[in-house]
Formats: sequence, C-alpha cells, structure tokens
Amino acid sequence: MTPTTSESDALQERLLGAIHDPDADVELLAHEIAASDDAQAYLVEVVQLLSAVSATSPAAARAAALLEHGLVVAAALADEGVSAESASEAAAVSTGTAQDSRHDRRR
Amino acid sequence: MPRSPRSEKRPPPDPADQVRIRGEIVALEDDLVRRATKLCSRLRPPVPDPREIYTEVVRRLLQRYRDGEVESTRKVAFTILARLVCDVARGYRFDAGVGAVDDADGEDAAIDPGRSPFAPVTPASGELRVDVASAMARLSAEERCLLLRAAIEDHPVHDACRLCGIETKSPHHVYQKLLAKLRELLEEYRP
Repeated sequence: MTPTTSESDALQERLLGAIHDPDADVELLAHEIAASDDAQAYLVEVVQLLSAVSATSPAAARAAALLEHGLVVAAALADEGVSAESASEAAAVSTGTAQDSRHDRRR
Repeated sequence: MPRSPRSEKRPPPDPADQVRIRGEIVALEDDLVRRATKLCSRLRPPVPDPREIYTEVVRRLLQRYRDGEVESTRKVAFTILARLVCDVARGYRFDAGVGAVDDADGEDAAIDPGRSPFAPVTPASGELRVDVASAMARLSAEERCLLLRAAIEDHPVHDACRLCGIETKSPHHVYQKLLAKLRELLEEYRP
C-alpha cells in the first residue's frame, strides 16, 4: 500500500529525529525503512544535503548507517521469506503493545 | 611484518559453491537494479547508471566471497549497495570497473584498495561549494543557525531550534521543511 503524504511526512520527521539523536532506538524504524522505498530514498537525500553542508556531518553518517540497517533488515526478512511490509506492521503492533503494557504498569 | 588476514590467499570456492554463488547473484539482479534506481531517485545529478552500481555491487560481493566474509549473499549485497549509494550522495564520482574482478572462479584478482572506483568530486573548491554557499545565503538567519547547529554541531533538532530562537511545537517538521527548502535552493543554483 502506498503511504499517504501525511504518513510519509510523519515517517520523514521520525527519521530526522533518529538521525539527530545518537541514542535513538532505531530497531522499529529499521523495519519501517526496510518496508519503504521512499524512506530509503529520503535517507539518501538527507545524506547528500547534510554532506553538502558539512563533509564530516555526524548526522549524515548516522543517516547512512540507518539506511544500511534498514537494508540489512530487508535482506534478512527476504531471506526468511517474510515481506518487509508485514514485518513492519508486526513490529509496530508489538512495540505498541509493549508501550501499552508499560503505560498500564505506570497506572 | 605480519600479513593481514585479507592479504592471505584463500583456496578458490569449490565448483558447487561457484554455481550456487552465480545463481544467487543472478537471482538478485532485478531487485538490486530496482533498489539502486529507487535509492538514487531523489539525488541531485550526476547520478550513475543503476546498472553500473549493480556491477560494482557484484564486483565487491565476489571480493567478499574471496575473503570468506559472506554468510548471506543478499545481506552483503544490500549492505554494499547502501554504502555505494551513500558514497555517491556524499559527492564521490562513480567510476565503475576500476580494479576489475575476473569472476567467481577463484582466480586471485585482488582489488587494490588504493584504486577505489570512487574519485572524490573536486569541484568542492569550485562549483559545489559555490552552490551550497549561494543556497545558504538565501536562508534566513534562523534557518542557517538551525542547519549549522543540527548538521555540524550535532545538536538534537529540538535543542537546535531552541538555541536558534525558533519557537515551535514540532521542531522536526520545521527541520524537514528546511531541508526541503535547501534541496530546492541547491536545485536552483545547480550549474
């Protein structure tokens, strides 16, 4: 399914958040990147833009690492015969469940 | 001087392995070319032909096989692809075919690491830098500040916004729009 513009914008914003946060948890994001050609192309664009501003931009290096991580996940899923899209949805559900249960424990 | 593990000559893959390797590479061709095309779709030109990228991926993949570093052909191929495309994005000019590898036939066709297929783009002292400087000059002072704080000084985006006096509830949205604007300006200043 093709993501809508707002979904795509939201994913791009989360990618930028992760690129600029060295401590970000990128596992779920890597699954989303694996499932989205547009996210992968956006990361490459960000590498180009940030590298143009500074050849040694740490954020550009993290964008490249994030892309590589996403493609490794895509390869692993394809080797297992799992579609990246369904794995991404499953990862999102599982993370959502984990967040819900943490939320419940706090309550 | 001790020899590095990479410089030691390994025995060639046995014939059955060679057939398997060839089969796996052929099976990946369409996917790799499609991915290379898509990955480069938002890049400013010049962008290398996706088939050249695919050829370079295969060349490096075969070298990895020679070095005995391959567990999953697809995983290694995708990793190489990501690195190649990011090198292109960083402004390295693609020059496929340098340091050619014969094939998966076990011949010692070691790649000279000093002969990278990528040559740094040198208009850095000329066109590219002028491009960036001209584009940056069209940004507002706050936007330039945000870009420098985030891209060079590596501040998280919300901190960078705060430091630059940008009041917003969605700093990542502001930053996303700024990068889109920079992209348009760079397009405008492309020679």
